[in-house]
Amino acid sequence: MVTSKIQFSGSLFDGKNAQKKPVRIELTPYHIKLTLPGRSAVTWPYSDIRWAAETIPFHIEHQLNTPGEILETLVVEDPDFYENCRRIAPDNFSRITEIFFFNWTIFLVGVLILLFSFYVAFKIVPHYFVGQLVDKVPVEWEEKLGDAVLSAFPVEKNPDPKVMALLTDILHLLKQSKVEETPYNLKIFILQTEQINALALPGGNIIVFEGLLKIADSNEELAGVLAHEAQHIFLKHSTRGILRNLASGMLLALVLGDANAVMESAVSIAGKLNTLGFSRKMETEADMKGVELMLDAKINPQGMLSIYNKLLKKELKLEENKKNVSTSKNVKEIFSYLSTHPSAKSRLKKLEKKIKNNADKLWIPLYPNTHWNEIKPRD
Amino acid sequence: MGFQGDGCTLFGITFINLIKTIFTLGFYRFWAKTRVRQYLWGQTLLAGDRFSYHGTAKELLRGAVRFGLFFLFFVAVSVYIFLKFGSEESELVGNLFTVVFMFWLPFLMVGAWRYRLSRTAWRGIRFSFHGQGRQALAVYFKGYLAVPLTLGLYWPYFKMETEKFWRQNSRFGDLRMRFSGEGKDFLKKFIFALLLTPLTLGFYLFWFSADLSRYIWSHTHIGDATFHFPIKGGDYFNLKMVNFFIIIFTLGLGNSWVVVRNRKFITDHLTFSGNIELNRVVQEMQDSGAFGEESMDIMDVPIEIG
Repeated sequence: MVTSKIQFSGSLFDGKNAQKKPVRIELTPYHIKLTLPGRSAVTWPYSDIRWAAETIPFHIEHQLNTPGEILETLVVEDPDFYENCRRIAPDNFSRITEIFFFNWTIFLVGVLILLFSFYVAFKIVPHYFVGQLVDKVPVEWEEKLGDAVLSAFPVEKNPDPKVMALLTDILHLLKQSKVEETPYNLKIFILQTEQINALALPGGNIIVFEGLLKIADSNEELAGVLAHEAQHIFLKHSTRGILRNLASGMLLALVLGDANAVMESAVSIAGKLNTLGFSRKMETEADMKGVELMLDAKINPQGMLSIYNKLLKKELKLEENKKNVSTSKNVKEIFSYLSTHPSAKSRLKKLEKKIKNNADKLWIPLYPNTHWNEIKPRD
Repeated sequence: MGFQGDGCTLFGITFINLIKTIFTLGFYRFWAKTRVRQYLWGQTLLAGDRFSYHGTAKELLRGAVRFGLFFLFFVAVSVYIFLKFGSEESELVGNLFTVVFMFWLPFLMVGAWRYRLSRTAWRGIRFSFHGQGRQALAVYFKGYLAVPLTLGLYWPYFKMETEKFWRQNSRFGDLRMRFSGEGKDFLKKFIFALLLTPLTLGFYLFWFSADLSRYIWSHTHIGDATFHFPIKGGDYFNLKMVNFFIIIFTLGLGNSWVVVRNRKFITDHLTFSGNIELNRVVQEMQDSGAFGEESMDIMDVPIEIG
């Protein structure tokens, strides 16, 4: 049982030496009054003190308003001191160990705020800064970046010259037909893999996977794929994607306070570039601008539409197969072109509309003397 | 010495800290760390009086921001080099930074230890550290070179030299600590441990560590008093094994109890005998920022000194 009293005896460390000085203590609603033997009383207002220990021996610290951060410490061993102090002192002279009240409303609001701030911090902020920055990145830097990524892929060193000639010609035609000047030097590389995909790296390198080449049946279809990838480069999509990944990675590392991760994300840029996370918006933009580019080059834009349709069909078929039989090859693995290019159907619709709107534009057959089906890689 | 803290209270503090840290996207962690230290220091008693921790979260935050800026600079430089010159050059610069870091590390350790000691008080008197970064660099560099060159035999000498550096330069108020341990006293035991550790599948390490701590403390003096830390290998083995199982079976949640057990182990065994005229110990102030402290923390280097 705690006895109500206001006077206690304790000891004081004055912060100047380690001597323990006996002291008389009186509790008042506004301050603690201390009297050292043979001295006049001093008062410690509750606003200037804090509990340093709430178990015996009780410690209260008092910050002196003098330079040098000298602290005075009051030590009381009387077991009744604590409760009496809590009774007499104002409420805001509170415990160190707060009691944690659990409140569902606060909890849910907190979770929402948390999610929202995560979204802002890792999506919108990097997005905005990268958007500001990307146009200021020199082309040489983009080329360096693109070359570094390229070196991570074992691209074909001696590709079929006929295939390369055609692909390069189409690419040149597309670039020359571009209305605005472009500083990028487009180069094409072939990766020998059954995967159906193509990558546009920053600065002008395009990697086409052999699986994609096999699916194409005409020059126009190739042109469709290349126009799309070329636009990714012209529009700096990959640079943007990489910078965004980098920025959010670094931000996350900073928040977690893990410098090693910051370093890693900065140093191993090349390693992480394989995932060039393009957004849906970027893909649609590349499609639309790709069609425009094809029209400027007087190439039939139906080529893009028809190869996309083939890809979509193939993907659906593979998925069906996967449902019925457990196919040995991973669908996603083989088929990353449209799956990394999200919501293929809505993209196709937009593409159809765009082509329809430009139906009056003239086009001429693309290299009628070269037949892609005769030179394309075979199984 | 004594330790009054208990795992439950510490767990409560840590748990609330964790929630607040998550909700503030990590910013609360400086306050969290300060909170935990205030608790741990305050629950540690020597001769019936508590230790106290006077560091503030703002100091830690300032230290972290400064170190973070340095890091951003490093990142910016390596990204710039990468883009301007290429990946090989960037790797070269990265290696250069690693070397710079190695030389910088002793300075950071000194900064961290200085910060921590200067924010620790007992009986209202602060501790302080008066060692210099370049002295630490000399001690550690010598060790890093000599240990491999002597096929490890220099290690006991290196260990005693580092302990001497950390302890001899630590003060309580105006009272200095002294360290009288010498590497040659420990050479035989070290060679013995080298032979016995593989034969006992590493378990001898517990006994070796106990011997080492016992030796180091019994050669640490403050004023006219000498410390004693009479632990046996078995005590140490028990402590670490139980800790290990607590962590495993609680999936890490029991870390608070492990921290408390480690503290208790030290305070239960550490004593000193001899005279300290505590009444004559006078405050000596020293100013120190938290730059070293935070940088060590960010680099995830645990400071295990003393």
